[in-house]
Amino acid sequence: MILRKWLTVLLMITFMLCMSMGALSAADGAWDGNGPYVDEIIMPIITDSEARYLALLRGEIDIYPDVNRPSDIRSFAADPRIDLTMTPGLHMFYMGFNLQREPLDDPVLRRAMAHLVDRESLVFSVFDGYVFPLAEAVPESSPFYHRTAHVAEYDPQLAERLLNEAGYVRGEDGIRVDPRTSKPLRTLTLITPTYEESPTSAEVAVRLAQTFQNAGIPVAVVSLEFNTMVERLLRKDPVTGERDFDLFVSGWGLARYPLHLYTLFHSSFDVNGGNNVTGLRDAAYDAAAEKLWRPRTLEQAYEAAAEAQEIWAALQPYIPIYSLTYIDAFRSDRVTGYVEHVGYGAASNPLASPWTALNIRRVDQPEGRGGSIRWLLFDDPGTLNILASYTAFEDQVLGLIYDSLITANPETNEDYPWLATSWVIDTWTTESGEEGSVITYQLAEGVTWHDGVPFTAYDVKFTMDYLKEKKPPNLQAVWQDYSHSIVHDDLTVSVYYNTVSYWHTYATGGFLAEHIWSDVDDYESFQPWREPHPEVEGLTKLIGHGPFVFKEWVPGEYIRLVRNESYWRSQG
Amino acid sequence: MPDQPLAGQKVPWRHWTNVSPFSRGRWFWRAFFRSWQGAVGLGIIAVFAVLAVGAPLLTPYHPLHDYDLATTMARPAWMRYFPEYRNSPVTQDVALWQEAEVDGDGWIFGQSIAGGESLTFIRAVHDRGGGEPVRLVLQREVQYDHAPPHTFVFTLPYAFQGDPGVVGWARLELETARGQLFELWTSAPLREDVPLRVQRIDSRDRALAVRLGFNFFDNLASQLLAEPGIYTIRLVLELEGVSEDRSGTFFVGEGRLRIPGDLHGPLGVDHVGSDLWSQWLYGARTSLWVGFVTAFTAVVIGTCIGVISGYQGGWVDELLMRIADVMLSIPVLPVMIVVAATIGKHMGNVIILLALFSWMGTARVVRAATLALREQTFVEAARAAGGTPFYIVWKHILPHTLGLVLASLVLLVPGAIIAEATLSFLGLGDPQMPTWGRMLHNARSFGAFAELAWWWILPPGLSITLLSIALLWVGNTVDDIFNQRLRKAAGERKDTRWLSYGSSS
Amino acid sequence: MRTYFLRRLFVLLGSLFVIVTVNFVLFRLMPGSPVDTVISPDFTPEMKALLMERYGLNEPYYIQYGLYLKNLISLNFGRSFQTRLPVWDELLSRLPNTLLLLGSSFLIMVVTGVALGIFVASRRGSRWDTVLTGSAVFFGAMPGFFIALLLLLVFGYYIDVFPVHGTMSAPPPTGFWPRVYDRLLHLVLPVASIVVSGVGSWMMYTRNHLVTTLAADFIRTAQAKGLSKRRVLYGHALRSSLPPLVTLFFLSLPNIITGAVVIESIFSIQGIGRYLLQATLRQDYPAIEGAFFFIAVAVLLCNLLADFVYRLVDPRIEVR
Repeated sequence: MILRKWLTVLLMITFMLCMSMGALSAADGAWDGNGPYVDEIIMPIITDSEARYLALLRGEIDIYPDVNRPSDIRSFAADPRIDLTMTPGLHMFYMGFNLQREPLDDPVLRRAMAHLVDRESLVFSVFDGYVFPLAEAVPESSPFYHRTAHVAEYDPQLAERLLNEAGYVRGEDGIRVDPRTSKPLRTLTLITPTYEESPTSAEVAVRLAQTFQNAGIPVAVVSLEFNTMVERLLRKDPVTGERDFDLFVSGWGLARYPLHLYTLFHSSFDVNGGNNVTGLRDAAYDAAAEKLWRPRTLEQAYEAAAEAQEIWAALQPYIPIYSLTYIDAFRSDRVTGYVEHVGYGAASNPLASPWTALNIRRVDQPEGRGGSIRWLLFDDPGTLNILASYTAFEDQVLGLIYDSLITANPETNEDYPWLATSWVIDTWTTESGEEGSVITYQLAEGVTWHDGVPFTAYDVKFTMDYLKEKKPPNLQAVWQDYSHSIVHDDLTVSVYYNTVSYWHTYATGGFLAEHIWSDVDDYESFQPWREPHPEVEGLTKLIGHGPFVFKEWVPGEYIRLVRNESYWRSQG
Repeated sequence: MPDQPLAGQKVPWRHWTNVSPFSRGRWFWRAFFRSWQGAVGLGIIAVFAVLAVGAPLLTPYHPLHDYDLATTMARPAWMRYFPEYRNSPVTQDVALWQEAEVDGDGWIFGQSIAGGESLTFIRAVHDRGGGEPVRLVLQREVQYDHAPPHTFVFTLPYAFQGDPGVVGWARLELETARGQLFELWTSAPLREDVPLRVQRIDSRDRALAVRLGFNFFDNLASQLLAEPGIYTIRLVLELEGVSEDRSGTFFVGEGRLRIPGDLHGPLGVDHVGSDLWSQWLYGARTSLWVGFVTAFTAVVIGTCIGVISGYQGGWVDELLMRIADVMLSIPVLPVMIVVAATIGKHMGNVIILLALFSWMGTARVVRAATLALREQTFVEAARAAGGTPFYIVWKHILPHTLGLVLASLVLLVPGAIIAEATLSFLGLGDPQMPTWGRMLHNARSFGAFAELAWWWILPPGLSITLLSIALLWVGNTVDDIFNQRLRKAAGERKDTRWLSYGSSS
Repeated sequence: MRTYFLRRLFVLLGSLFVIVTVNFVLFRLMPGSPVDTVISPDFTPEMKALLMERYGLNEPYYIQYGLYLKNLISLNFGRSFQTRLPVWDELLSRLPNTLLLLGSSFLIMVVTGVALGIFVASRRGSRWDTVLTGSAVFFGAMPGFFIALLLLLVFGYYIDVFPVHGTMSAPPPTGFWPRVYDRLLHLVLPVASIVVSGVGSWMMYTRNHLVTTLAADFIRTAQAKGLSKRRVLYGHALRSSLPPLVTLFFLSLPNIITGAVVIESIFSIQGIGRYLLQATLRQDYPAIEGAFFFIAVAVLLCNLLADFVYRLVDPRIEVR
């Protein structure tokens, strides 16, 4: 109940933020402009959190995305030169159960434990209130969020009652008795990443263990290196079919669509190395998750997501704890025009949200055009090769260089036509007689790659064919069901998939320039930014169709991008 | 005195072996305390040792598991003597309803105990309303005299019982010293039975701040308790629909207002409100423990190898000494980093590794001493009398190297302490152990520098320094006493030690 | 002479063997698998198997070991998981920053240290002697990283005068001299950290050596001949102190190289030491192996060099 009130307030904040933005956009088209407005973006690479903090104060950077230390947030909030934005993120941090081990296979015990978790207290005390408590499988920042009555809110009295009624009564030493064995509950192991790697996760884990301990459920925290931890969680003994843990804490960054409800909980992933580490096996849930994975329409997806969340909450394979907020800091005495994108923040995810890059401008420039801004990058991006990119830092740079076919409205997260001005979803019959999706995209006119070569339907076809041939692991979702493409004319292309799914609409990409990538055989070791462009001087092979053009990267120091003079959207 | 080389040279053994062990000890201490460095150093070490051993008595807090003791990065308590912080809030915990004024007509009061805990509840029953809403107000005035706090937390245990048709509300209001009224919390409509719950109202609740008209990033506590004065806290309980045959009952447990202080303990607190003084004390434990265990292990290894090498001679000597050279030429820190990355960050690993890489000095010293002793008449006599090598080493050689071994043990400790601190500082230390290096790692990771929290940064670093100097003094004093000639025979110049301590980190 | 070279050879090969073995064994002892560093919730089990295959981690150990030795000899450390670049190239690209940092700090440290040593030796027993010797003890006993932290606190936060991260501004100023100035400014704090933590030992060494030398017979003779104090100090005493100083120079290199790990990570300098640490924190195994091997071999070479130089400058002395 407390939580519900809280969530209502959260909705209100979101609404207010949107309102304020709406007002802005009504006045001067704040996020629909003819950007980009700045001539140059420098991305200083600063790995040390102290140095980052100092850099914003000293004015070495103008944009500090994803500020996550409470002490920094407090200090920035007090500084009149600095403006902070807060956006609920698509993220979930949780404690997971091993559902296939006694005593956690008992849903009553899991339920009671869920009622014991005081999320608000954790959020206030560990995060200083800068993240949002989360009790559902999908955060409220997602349009697929479904409010269900099954959610277990903080209610220690209820937990106590549930436990007692189910026979988990306290023994003499205060430890509860397992009704099935009539012996005291064994000590459960709670696996957490180490303090060094993830201080907040470790902190949360310790506090959870204390909570359960106080309630008579013995829990011991075991902190492991991240990779050891993942290995241990994923390993399902081939002989005994067991996983060696009871509880674990972890967090996921989520996508705009709640596909994690399928990839993390469907019973087909309950195998050695599979992602369904809780070992959830439930026929009804599987059916709902499959519907979510392969919906024909958005409506079906919404329905399936709601159904899955409903069942999920009753099964309680996780205890969700919090969902991150993106807090981005701007030197408002220098820059303006940043756009908060629900789920992605104002400056944290340029790949998912192009809006800030397009609208950011300097306050000291006449008519708000021109000038250079400095946008902090947390670490060196690995390769700047879009096919081999794994890190968020890489996406942060690539997001400025590439555009997608379809993007999202920052306020509602609804589809926003981009390189594809419109698309038609249909079905076809594959060679094996199955039904598959076919999506026909109409591409925007006047789009060129950074070297002036027009971007056409052939690039889309090339991209998809190339991915199908090379099978880069990080883009598996794109190529795994792809069949072929047919180009109708320069700006119209039909993309055929072997299965029917509404999500295929978003899978299609057109980010590989055929005239550059057709020569690339070993895509993994290709370092586009290191190779000079064959024809245009001053460019590298790292070219896209996005608002900024890659110029220079001094590893460990900075990356320099300049405005794309012939950006398709600024031509009116 | 140019440096004399080295191995194999016979050194006259001016011994004090005829003196009884008892008087030998007295002789040693007299010599030891003649050196002020030795005396001061030993004093410092003793102070650290007492603090380390007595840690559980000297602080009530667990260094890592007790948090929220004060507001994040609270300053040390003694800083209240600085004019700037004279008014800083100290931790306050106010029981609200003990002395509350009660205002409301037609209520029946009683006491009850609920929740299986010894929580006393005010039972307020109303059953005479004429359909009109009735209300009960618990009002408490709190004098707040300090600078605006960073955080406050209200806890309000309550429960409700009502006949069908009766609806209750509970609400918490705060009237500031300036007379502004803020509604901090309103319950959802309470119908029928609402079991005991503890409502928590936290100033870090960003949504609350927004609801009260502040910015998401504003500090609610310092906005609301902005100035000294009298603050009125009201718990308003309302009932609707009570009549002769329908009553409603509120159970109100003792409400509390907690304001975590900005000043705490001898060294303040860290970012999650854990006591830094406890971390320092337990850090001293870890440091001394790691230092001495490592040094002891290294010295045992070194003595064995040194004695074997010196006594046996020949190819064994050659091999062992070359192995020592090999170990000397491998850089320790990178190896420790790689080990931490691959087989884990356990303190045992650190100790074993450090010991494996620090026995070489001792081995050389002991080897040289053994070489010298081997030619002494009393050893030769023992050999002539048919003593086995083990017997001779045990009876005649080891006792005489004891002083040197002791000195090198003490001198190995600072290196081990610094190495462990460095590893912890880099984030590669044992996560279960409170250490000084980890304090510094946290200080750097969680914003102590940005807050200029020197009381967090300086103590661990300066303690390592002080302890190292003390150990160096003691070690050098012991070393000087127990025969400088042997040290020179072993070829170890005191000065080169500076190198390994000065820049090994 | 021959035994000497045999010994050195043994030590060199032995060290190499230990390093190579440590490197190989540790990475196979380790729990977990490298695929985990690139795991994401959207990966299926097949995908993880594909990754495993791609990184060649399914081969048996002895094949991996053979491959490993072959690669070491051909300086092929594999590709970093993180950047997909050859580790060797990455190390080389980071070498200049490390060399610049270590070179400049070393130069300053030695010059200042020796100068201070001469200064206090000639004023033995004076107040200067007490103060400087005391400071040397103090800073010598202070962990290197703590000195860096103190400098960071004072000159980065309290008095905001020096840059605290990286080797250049982003973007660097235009023009040659402004660029040089920019780089020097970025070097101040890291270099100062290394110098402060190491200069004491140089000073003490010089001082103590000079003090002993000044008491030696040939100096007394020189004094008796009526040579000036200054002449005795610089002309005779210092000259006799040079050979051990030269050796000390090389002998202290390994410590300094190791210290770079800490200093580079505190001041975010894109060098070899920080590369090792970052690779460690990211579980980037080829990078860890490569960086460790690189540092260890650099240290070995310094040791070897120290030996030869020692023999060169002072052939009277048989080493060890």
